[in-house]
Amino acid sequence: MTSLMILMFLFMPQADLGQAGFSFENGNQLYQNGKYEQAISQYRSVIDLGYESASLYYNLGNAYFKLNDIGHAILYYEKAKKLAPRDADILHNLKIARVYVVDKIQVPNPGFIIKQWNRLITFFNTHQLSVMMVAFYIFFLLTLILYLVIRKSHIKSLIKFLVYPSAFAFAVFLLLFLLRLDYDRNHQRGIVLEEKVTVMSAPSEDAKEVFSIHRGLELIITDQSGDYYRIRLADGKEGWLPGSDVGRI
Amino acid sequence: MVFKYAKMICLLLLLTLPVQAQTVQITASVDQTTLAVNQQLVLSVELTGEDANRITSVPPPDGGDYLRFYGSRGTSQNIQFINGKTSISITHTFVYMAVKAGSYTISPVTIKYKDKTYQSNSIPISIVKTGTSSPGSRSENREDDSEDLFLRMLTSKQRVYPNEPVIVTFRIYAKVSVTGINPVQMPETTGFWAEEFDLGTRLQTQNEVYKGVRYAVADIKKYALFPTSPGKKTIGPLTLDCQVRVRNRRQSKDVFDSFFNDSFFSRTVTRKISSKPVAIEVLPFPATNKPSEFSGLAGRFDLNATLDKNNVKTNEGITLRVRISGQGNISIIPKPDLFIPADFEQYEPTVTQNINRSGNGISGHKTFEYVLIPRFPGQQRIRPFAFSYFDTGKKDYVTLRSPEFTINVEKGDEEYNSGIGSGFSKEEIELIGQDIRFIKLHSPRFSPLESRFYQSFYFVALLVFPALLFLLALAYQRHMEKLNKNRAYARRRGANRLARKRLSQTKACLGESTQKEFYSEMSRALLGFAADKLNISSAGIISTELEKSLKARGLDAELVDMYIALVQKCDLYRFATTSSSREEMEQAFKKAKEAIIKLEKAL
Repeated sequence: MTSLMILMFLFMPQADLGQAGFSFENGNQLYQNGKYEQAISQYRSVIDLGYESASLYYNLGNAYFKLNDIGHAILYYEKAKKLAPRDADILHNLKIARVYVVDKIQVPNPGFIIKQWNRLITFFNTHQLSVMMVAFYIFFLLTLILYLVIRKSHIKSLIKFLVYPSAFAFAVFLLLFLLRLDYDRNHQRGIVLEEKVTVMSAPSEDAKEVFSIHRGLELIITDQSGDYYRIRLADGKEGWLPGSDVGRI
Repeated sequence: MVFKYAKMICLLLLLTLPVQAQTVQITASVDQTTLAVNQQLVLSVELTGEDANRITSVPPPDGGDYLRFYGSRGTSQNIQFINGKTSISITHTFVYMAVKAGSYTISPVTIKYKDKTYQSNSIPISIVKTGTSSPGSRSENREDDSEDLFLRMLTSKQRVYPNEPVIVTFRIYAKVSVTGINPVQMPETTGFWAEEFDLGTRLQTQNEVYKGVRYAVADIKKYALFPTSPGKKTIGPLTLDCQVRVRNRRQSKDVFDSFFNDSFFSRTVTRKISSKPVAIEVLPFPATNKPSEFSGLAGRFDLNATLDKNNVKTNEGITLRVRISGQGNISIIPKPDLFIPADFEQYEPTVTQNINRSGNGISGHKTFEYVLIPRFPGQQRIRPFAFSYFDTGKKDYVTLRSPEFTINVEKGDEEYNSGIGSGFSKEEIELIGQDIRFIKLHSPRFSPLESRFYQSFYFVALLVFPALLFLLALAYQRHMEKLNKNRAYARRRGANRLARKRLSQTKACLGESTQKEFYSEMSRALLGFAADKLNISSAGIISTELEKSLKARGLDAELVDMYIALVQKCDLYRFATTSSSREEMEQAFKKAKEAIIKLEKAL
C-alpha cells in the first residue's frame, strides 16, 4: 500500500510538472511585457496545478505590487519568505511593499533576548529544520552503529570521537524543530487584502465595530468561527473579521 | 420679672424671621418641654403674616389640671420690609405654673379672623415632681445634654443607593447668646465622596421651633455625601467650641438684681458641643435590568452630544462635544465609551466640569471635547455610545444614547496620497519611490503545494529505519559480547580440572624409561593451565609469549619467573638427551604442582 503511494508520488505528476514550468515561463514573459494581470493568472495556474515555489510566489508578489495591490503583494512575498527565509530579493521587495501599508502599528520593543530568540527560531524554516534534524539523526545513529559493530579498536576510538558531536547536533536541531512547530501553531499569520476592513467585537455582521485596519497589514489568526477569523494585531488589539478579507500566509 | 421675660423675647425677635405673606400663621412654642412642679412655663404664640397686627386678642390655651395660667406677659412686634413686602410678626407671651406631675399636651391656639379659623400646633410637655428632675430625664428628648445649646445633624435620607447624595446639615440650636463658633473636629465621612456646600462667610440665623421650643438656629456646615459602596456607613459627629455669654443667674426675684443681670455684667464661657453620629444604610443597586454600560452613577442626568460640522476635508479638525449634565456626583462621571474610527487621528479629550454646590443638591455638568482629524476621504460613521445611570426617583436604570454621526470627508487641498499613511520612519522615507527587484526568471524546482517533509512518509521512514538498524547492531554487539564472555569463563572454570587431570597423567609417567612422556605431559599441564586462565590459545604457545602475557596481567615477577623456568626445564628434558633421576623428576613434579596452585591463587 505505502509503496504504491510512493510510486504514485514519483511518477504521476510528471506531466503536470512540465505544464507548471511552462506556465511559469509564460508568466515571466507576460510580466516583462507589462501585462501583469495576465502574468498573475499564469502564475496562479501553477498553484492551481498543486505546486509552489519561492520564486513563483516572489514573481506573483511582484506582479501584484505593479498593480498597486499591496495586500496580495505582501501576502505572496510572505509566502515566498516562508519557503526561502533568507532570500535577499524577497526580503528587499517585502520591505518596500510594507512602506505602503497604511496602518503603522507601534509594536512594543520586545527586548534584546526575545528578539534574538525569535531570530533563532525563524532563521530556518520548518522544512529546513526537519531535514537537518533528520540528517543529524541518521548520522548520529550511523556512528553509533559503527561503534557497536566494528571490533578493531583503533577505528572504534576514532568513531567514538564522532558520536558525541553528532548526538549534540541532533539534539540541537530536534529542539529547534519542535520549538518551530510550536511557533508555527501559535503564529498563523495573515495579511489584510481589502482596502479597509472593519474589525468587529464578535463574529457576526451586526457586532460592534472595534477598530478598522487597511490593506497589507500583517495580523495573527488566533481562532476561527464560521466565516470569521479572530485576529490579533502586533500591538495586542483583538477582534473578529470576515475570513475572506484576509489571506493566510 | 416682667421686664426679664420681655427682654428675652426681644432677644429672640432680633433674629430674622421667615417671611409669610397673605395669610396668618400661628406658631406656639414653650421655653422648656420638661419642667418640675412649681416651675414656670413661658408659652409664646407668634402670629405672622400681613394681617398679624390686626389680630389683637389671643386667648391663652387651656392648661388643664397640670398648668395654672399665671397671666399674660404682653406682646412684642417685629416688622420687616423685604423687597417692598411687609412682614409682621407679633408674639403674645403667656406664663403658666406647673401644678401637677404628668404628661400633658397644650392644646392649639385657635383664632378666628375674617371668617377663617387659624390654628397653631399643639405642644406636648411633661411635668415631673420636684427633685426627680434628673439630667437624664431632661435630656430624653434632646440631641445634647444641654437644652439651651446643641448641635443636630440633619440628613435628607437614611437609606440611599451608592452615589445617591445624602444632604447632611449640621445645625446649631441656641437659646443662649452665642458669640463665636469654632469647629474642633470635622465630621468623619469615610466611605463617602463629600461635596461641601457653600454657605457663605456669614452664618444665616433663623428661628425654628424644635419639639415645641423656639430656638435660634444656624447651619454650620452642609455637605452632599455620595456613598461609594453599598453597606452600613456612619457619618461621624461635628464638634464645635462655642463662646456663650452667660449671665450670673441668681435665684433672686429682686427687680434690682434683674437690672444688674444685664449683658454688661455677663461673662463668656466656652462650651463644647457635638452632634450625634448618624448611620446611613447604603443599598446595593438592583441586579435586574442592569445595563452593561452602567458605571455606578446615580441621580438624574441628560446627555448631549454635538459635532461642530459634518462636512470636512482631510486633515481638518472637527470637534465632538459630549456634555453630561444633571444632579448627582458630577465629579465621577467617566469618560464616555466613544468609539472613534481608526481613520481619525484623535487626541485625549479636554474635560471641563462645573458643579453647583448651593441649593438643595449637587448639580452641574461635565463636558468632554474631542478633537478629531480625519486622515482619509470617504464617509465616516461615529457610532452612538451609551451612558447609563440609576434614576433614584424612578428606582430604575436609565440608558441614554448619543446620536449617530455621519461625517463626509472630502479630499483636502494639500498634497496627500491615500495609499500612503502618515508618519514614516527615516528608513521608510528612503524606500519610498524605490522600485522593487526584478522577478526570478530561472525555472524553479516546484514542490507539491503544502507538502511538508516532516509530515510525509519519508520523514517517518527516515526516523524509524536507522533506529531499527541501531537496534539490530545493538543486539549483535550484545550477542558477541556474551559469547566472548562465556568462552573465557568456561575455560577459566575448566582450567583446574584439566590441570589436575594432566598432572595425574604426568605422575603415571613417572619413571626413567618414560622420562620424555613425563616432561611432555608436565609442560602441557603448565602451559595449558596458564593459557586457559588467560583465555589465550594454548596451541603453539611459547614460554616467552606466556611470560609477557602473565607479566601484562600484573603478576608477581618472581612467580612468573619460576613458572617460566619450570616450563623451560620441561622443554629442556623433553627434547634433550640428558636424563634426569627419579628424584629429580619427583621434585620437578612437586614444584609444578606448587606453581599451578600459586598461579591459581594469583590469578
